[in-house]
Amino acid sequence: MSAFVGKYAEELIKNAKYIATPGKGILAADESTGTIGKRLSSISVENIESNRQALRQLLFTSPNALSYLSGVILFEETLYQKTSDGKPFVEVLEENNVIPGVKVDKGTVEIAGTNGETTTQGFDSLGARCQQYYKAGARFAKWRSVLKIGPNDPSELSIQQNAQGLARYAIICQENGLVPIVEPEVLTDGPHDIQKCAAVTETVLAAVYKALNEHHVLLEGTLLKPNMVTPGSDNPKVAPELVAQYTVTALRRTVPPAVPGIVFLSGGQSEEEATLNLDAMNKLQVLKPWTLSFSFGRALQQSTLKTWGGKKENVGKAQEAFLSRCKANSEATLGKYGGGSAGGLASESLFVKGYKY
Amino acid sequence: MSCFISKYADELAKNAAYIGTPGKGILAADESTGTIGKRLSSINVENIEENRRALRELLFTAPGVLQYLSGVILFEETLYQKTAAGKPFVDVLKEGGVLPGIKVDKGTVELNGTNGETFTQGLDGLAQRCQKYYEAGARFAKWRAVLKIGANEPTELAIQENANGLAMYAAICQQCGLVPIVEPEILVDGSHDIKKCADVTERVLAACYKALNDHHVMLEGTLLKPNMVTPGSESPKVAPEVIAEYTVRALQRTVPAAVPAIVFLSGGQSEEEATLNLNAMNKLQTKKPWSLSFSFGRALQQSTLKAWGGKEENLKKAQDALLVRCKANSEATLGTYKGDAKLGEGAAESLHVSNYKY
Repeated sequence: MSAFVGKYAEELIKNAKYIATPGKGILAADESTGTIGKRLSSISVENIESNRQALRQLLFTSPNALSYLSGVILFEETLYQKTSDGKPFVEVLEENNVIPGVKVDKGTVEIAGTNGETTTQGFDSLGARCQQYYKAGARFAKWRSVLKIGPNDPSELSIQQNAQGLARYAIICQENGLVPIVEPEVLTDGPHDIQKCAAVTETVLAAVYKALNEHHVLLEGTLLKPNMVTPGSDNPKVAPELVAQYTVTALRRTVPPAVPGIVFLSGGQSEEEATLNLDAMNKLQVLKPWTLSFSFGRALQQSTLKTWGGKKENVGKAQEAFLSRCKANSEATLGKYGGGSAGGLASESLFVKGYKY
Repeated sequence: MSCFISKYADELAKNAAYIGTPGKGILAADESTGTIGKRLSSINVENIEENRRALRELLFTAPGVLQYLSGVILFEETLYQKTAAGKPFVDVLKEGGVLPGIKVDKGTVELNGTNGETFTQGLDGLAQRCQKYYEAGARFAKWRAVLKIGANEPTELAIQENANGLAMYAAICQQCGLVPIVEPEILVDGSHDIKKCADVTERVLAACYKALNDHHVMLEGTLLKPNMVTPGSESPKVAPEVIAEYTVRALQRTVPAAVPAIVFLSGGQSEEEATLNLNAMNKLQTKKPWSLSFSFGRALQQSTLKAWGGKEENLKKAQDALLVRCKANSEATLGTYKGDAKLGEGAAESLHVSNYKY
């Protein structure tokens, strides 16, 4: 085959398939130190290691929440952290059948000569780092590429650079036993309509899968983390059914059936919005050869964060809020979400212009 | 969407989906005048228009056959021919629930500087020709690109040129109301193993679908006509189940779900071989979001041709032979073929011709 079938091939296929289990999804808890600092400061909590540890412990030990998750993406620091009882987070996850994953990119840098377009860095010693992460218990990785829509964007250069970058990252991961989540995020920023977002998303995904083929990536051992297809942030929202239709059409036109699962990013959507859109996609009566699930960061943690406010006495309630979102999204992956698990916080938009992790 | 929405969009999607109806497939009867001449001479029949017409009438009026077909690909001459009783072939097909299609390429020419690799011509005035064919009743088209496996082949040049040619042809067809069948045939010639064929097939198909995306082709209104993934002609044969596994996997890795159907070419396979392989694919328990069917030329007509021998008194025998193959392949699209088709003379005969040119 044109795919590289290395010593980890069967394990990669098995893990990718497990992450794509219907009824489960991914918690993206891989905010870098800088980014988690912004979250913590929004609830007036100091950005020190023990607070970062406390937040993640709150999430990972939420009673029953882990049953709705197949994976959690971690930042490097978190991969080596423990509960206050001294149990490694990785073990907490593994005991609850949740696969630990790790963010391996090192952020974006601007491409000179473009209108603020970026490429993603992180290739230096990537293979060696992946080996380390595998030893520490990680079994999947994530790398975020970013594209934006504008009158002349995304440019061919940006599309090619990001697609090639994702493909190179993906094959290095597979050589070292980590299932690569391929994330080509097309930002929602802008005044464009949903058709424009669909056109760009299709063009970008086609380029990504061409690059993956060129680099001999084993598609059965990968996952895709795309944006949903929506109108730009400057435009009025549309119904979930419309988001579902445009999104699933774009994916049917570009994502080969060999990919076991698609786990959407939430972008700036509110918790409830993201869940309703995912649910609508799974209700859509059209042939979908991959499962459609979630890999949400903000859209799983927002109410939880606010409810916690950094206070020990709020942990129980915060964990309930977290469980509620996990359950709602689990139902959405089955097209069975009834709506209404939205507290006021769950409907709050999480859109931040030019969002950087 | 990144695809161009032709005014024929709904019709294209409807026709493409219809051609993919489970239980049906395509009869490729689009042999050019030169090629059909070779067939006719193999049964000692003169290559004149009347004989070409008689052969096609035999095929299209064979009792019980049209129910197993969703489309027939015609050569330009045939599109305008009639039965002896004066009924246009196009009407015969339509009344039988079969969509007429038309070969629109003008054969291959060598790519300079390569080791005998080719690209396909036929783009000049293609839009005008397609419009004419649409008026004459055609609703789908076919264009054959050819690649070969060798020590250094297919080259990146050959892959790009052929993928690009297919994409341009497809976009033009859609603007004119014809569903384009995209055919990137990788010849079976050679001593390579099945893994090599799979590798090349995946690379070629990936390039094709990237090109189709670049050219804004609406995938829901296209069909794919690929080779099956097999060992080279000089290598030992393998079981249908192995061919099925490698072929379907190659397609899972490259063909988006938006494509409604995949209609295999038979290459040099014998009639029975082609049917058994197609059947094995449809029995395979794995993700197949497109239907898997046939677009066979030689593998549907071989025994029929031999039974006919150009003689009117053999008409019924010949038509019976065609019915046997059509029914067998129909069952193969459903994975229910039991391998019990009455084998006509030559049904198990390999139809491989080295470096085959239509």
